[in-house]
Amino acid sequence: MKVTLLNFGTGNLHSFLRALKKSGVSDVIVSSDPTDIARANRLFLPGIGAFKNGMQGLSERRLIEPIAEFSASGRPLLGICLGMQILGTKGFKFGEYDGLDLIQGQTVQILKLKVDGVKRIVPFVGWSKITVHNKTKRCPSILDDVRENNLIYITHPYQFIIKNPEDL
Amino acid sequence: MTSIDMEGTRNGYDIDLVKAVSSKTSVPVIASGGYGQPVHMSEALDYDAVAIADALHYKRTTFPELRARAIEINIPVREL
Repeated sequence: MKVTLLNFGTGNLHSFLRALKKSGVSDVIVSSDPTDIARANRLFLPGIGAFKNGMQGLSERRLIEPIAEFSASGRPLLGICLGMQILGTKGFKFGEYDGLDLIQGQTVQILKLKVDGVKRIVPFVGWSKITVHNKTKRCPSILDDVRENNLIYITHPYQFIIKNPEDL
Repeated sequence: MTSIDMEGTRNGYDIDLVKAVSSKTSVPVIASGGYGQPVHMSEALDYDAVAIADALHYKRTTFPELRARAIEINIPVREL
């Protein structure tokens, strides 16, 4: 499997590379060059950092247009953490910023009160069950091996609110 | 949130202290100082998290034991 890992200045590249290696991916290019995006088979956007810095990092390296073109071509694009957030329309971490708008939705702070008025501890830190939505209609996904009730370790003060549930 | 009064006593966490702090904030609060036996962990986990140090360092308990106890009281922990 060939993977292009995008370096836009704010990523956890090292841990991403280790995870890819552990998953048996040997052919990885780390690049911030738009031409490598055009040539990529699979494009990964790493995480860590604030929304604004992430988008600035893409903009300074002239990567916004190439990512949009890559996405439109139908090739697999994976964003993790901030790399996932900036796929959305807007992000509200330390201000309001435009994202790539490839998935309609917004990254907002997790509310400190639940709908029923009960206090919620934020950031969420710990092991949690995750639910895979729309499992039947989706294309092959990194979540395919997640079994019902599998626990995943999660740390997050922000959440992605998707506009159209069918995009999940 | 380490209770200097309880630390090293093995008599349990300072639940009143943890309760007082966690009622004033929405951030996670980790109870620290005083772990002696699994029931102490159960009491403190009503608030969010616990720190356990020398009980593990000096092998008075083990991760599998703590994990089994957590599962008993419906606290999600790593599956092994």
